[in-house]
Amino acid sequence: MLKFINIFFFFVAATIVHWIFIEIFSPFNIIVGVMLVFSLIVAGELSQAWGYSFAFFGGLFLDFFNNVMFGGYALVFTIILFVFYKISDKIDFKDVGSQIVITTVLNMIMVLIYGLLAQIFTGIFLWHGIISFCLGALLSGLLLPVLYFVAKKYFVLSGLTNK
Amino acid sequence: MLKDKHHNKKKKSDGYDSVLRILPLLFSVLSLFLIILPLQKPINSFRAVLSYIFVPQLRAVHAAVQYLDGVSESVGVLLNAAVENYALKDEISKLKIQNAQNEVLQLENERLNNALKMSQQIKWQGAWARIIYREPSRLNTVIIDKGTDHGIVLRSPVIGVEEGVVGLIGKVIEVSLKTSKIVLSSDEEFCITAFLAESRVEGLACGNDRGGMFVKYLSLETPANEKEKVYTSVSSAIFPEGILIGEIGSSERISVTTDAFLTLPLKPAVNPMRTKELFVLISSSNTDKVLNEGKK
Repeated sequence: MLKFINIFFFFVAATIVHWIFIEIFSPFNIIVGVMLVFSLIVAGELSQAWGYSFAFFGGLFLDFFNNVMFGGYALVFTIILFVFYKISDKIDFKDVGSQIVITTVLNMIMVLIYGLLAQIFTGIFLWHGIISFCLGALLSGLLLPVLYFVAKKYFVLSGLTNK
Repeated sequence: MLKDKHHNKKKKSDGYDSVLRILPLLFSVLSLFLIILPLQKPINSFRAVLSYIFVPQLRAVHAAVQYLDGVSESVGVLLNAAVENYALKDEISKLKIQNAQNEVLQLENERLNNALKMSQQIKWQGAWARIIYREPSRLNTVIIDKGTDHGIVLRSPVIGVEEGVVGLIGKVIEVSLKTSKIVLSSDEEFCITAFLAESRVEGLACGNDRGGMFVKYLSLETPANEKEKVYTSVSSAIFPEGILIGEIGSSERISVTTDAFLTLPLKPAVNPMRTKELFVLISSSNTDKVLNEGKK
């Protein structure tokens, strides 16, 4: 139960950080995948069950504010986490360099899959332009190591991980 | 004994592995189910439950940011208070004179309206609200900090002000006690009956999902006046008449969509992406209810 409460607080913190980044970057048409970053952190540090659950609800959080395709982000986040777990054996996610590269690439994949889903279900491919696409992904990649560092401290303090 | 323990442990880990194998599939199926379901009662109820988990912290952060913003501002305001006070006093005396003139004009207007037997225009009443969240992927919905507690109901029209111009912003599509969701006029699913002021014809103003709008179903004889103002029409079921929607865009971009109708680009009067505060129109009965509750 305590574990659930700690992760719930972590989720609340994720939504707040997401809000801050939206406030700062959305006027420039840049969408930083903060919820994806947090999902990857949980996936990297906690069990797969928590990773998938966190990603699913993180996606639902984004879907909640959308007026169409409710469940779209939840599906994309689940797919991204599936990809992440498939490649996690071959990568060192503790290394800052690989964290940046993997998050950037996964963020790009996320945007493309979501755009494709939007094309299928609403008939419009969501595309904010190549600059927004690249910068959003890169910022997500750069954000992860910073948040990873803080999150790890929180996980140790709250007893979610041992190290 | 030790063997049994080991066996049980192995059994347990096998069960956990199979759950992990099912979990992504389960979440994917659930998400697909949510996407495919039409946005009707079950989904709306689910969203209402989620609003209790997803919105409070955003409201709190927004309030905190506003409060901190206010602190630095109020210091500046206090420093300039005396100067501003003198200027305001001067303005008040000017406005008093203007008000007196306005009263005379209003009486005259009423008298003329009665003489012409025209229906009296309904005054716009409502509540000012602040945007607390912008949906980032489509940029076509926003969450505001006012809800049913403030008299807002579903499909309430929303207007905004930009550089002194009052114009249409969108309408309420979801409402809870303290927050509401607004679909912006730029959304491709947003449509409203519009009236071209100079051409004096009606059409349908719709969002184009790229932050702009267009007017369609205009007759081919409609003179294409660039910068012609477009207002909400009297025949709109939701919006009161006379709200400025925008103006006709560049005549070079005018296109004929079908043999029978003309479609014109429309530049919104108020850019919903730039506004921070919105005015949600509330019917007078709701306003009275809210005022009475406030008095209590």
